[in-house]
Amino acid sequence: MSDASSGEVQTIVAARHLADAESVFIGVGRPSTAAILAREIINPDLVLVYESGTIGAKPRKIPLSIGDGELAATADFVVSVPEMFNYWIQPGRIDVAFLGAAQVDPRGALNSTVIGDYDAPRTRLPGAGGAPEIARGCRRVMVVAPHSKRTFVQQLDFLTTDAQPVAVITDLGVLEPGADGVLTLTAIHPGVEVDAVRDATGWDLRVADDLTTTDPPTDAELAALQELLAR
Amino acid sequence: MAIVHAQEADRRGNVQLWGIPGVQKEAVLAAKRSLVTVERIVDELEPRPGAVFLPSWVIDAVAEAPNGAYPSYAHGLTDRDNDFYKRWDTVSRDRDEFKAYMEEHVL
Repeated sequence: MSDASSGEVQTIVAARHLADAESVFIGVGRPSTAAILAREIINPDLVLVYESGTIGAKPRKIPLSIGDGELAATADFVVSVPEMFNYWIQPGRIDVAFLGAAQVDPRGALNSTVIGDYDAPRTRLPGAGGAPEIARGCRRVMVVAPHSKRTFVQQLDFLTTDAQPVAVITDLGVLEPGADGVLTLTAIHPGVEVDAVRDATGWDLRVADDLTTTDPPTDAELAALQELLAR
Repeated sequence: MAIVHAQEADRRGNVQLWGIPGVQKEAVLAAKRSLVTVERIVDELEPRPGAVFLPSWVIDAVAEAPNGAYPSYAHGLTDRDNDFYKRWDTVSRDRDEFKAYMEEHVL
């Protein structure tokens, strides 16, 4: 196996989760990189949908923002933001929502609004950006977030999105909800110890009895990701 | 009050914009008053399939402002300056840098 960084492993594992997806709704950052990678090497028919209204975008480079001209120029079609929410998201036309967040709680609920007290926040975050409607409207939600006690908290500072994800993909492993909706560690990335994941989680982490280890990135996957990032 | 930027207006004040429409039409229609800045003013608008059209009677004022979307872009006419956006990270962290930025680009 190649010596991939934990962030590269996370992006590649996130991309693999889109292998059977019809369409994916994405913002910018690591989820966007993973979705672009998935379309390039895993699922060429994957429809990339950006909140700016570009549907079927085929970016060659990773966009700096969802308004980048390349997304509109390469899209199958472009709609307004109200059309995106009313006619595409709300009726369940989009398969997977790929969401990030500053905080994730034990049930996969998300905070992307404030850190600290709402009225006197330590950090004011970008906000929901449509995430509550996106999470409710898309058929499946997957969360991509860095694994640390700052992010994986027992109690959110603010409840932005009741996301109920089918998977939370971190740089240490993958969590999936149990029958009661509480996230359970179901896979760890190669070289990661379970105790390290426990230490990076702000609650008493459940670990699956049949915990698996993620397949390491192949040379081809890693080369494709690095080439994409370098464009 | 809504201020939006578009590609073109005609001499009667009708506006046509295209690319990513976002919520620009909604912003104008939701506002009590609106100003549309445009890349160019033309004698006659040539209708484009799929473009957003705003009639003069929902707009209070039109102003010609070439490159008025900078550092963003007007689809098909100007380019986005991504490096300018990235510089904002450092500019917004420091009061003096922020003030110098405002003097140079805004005030």
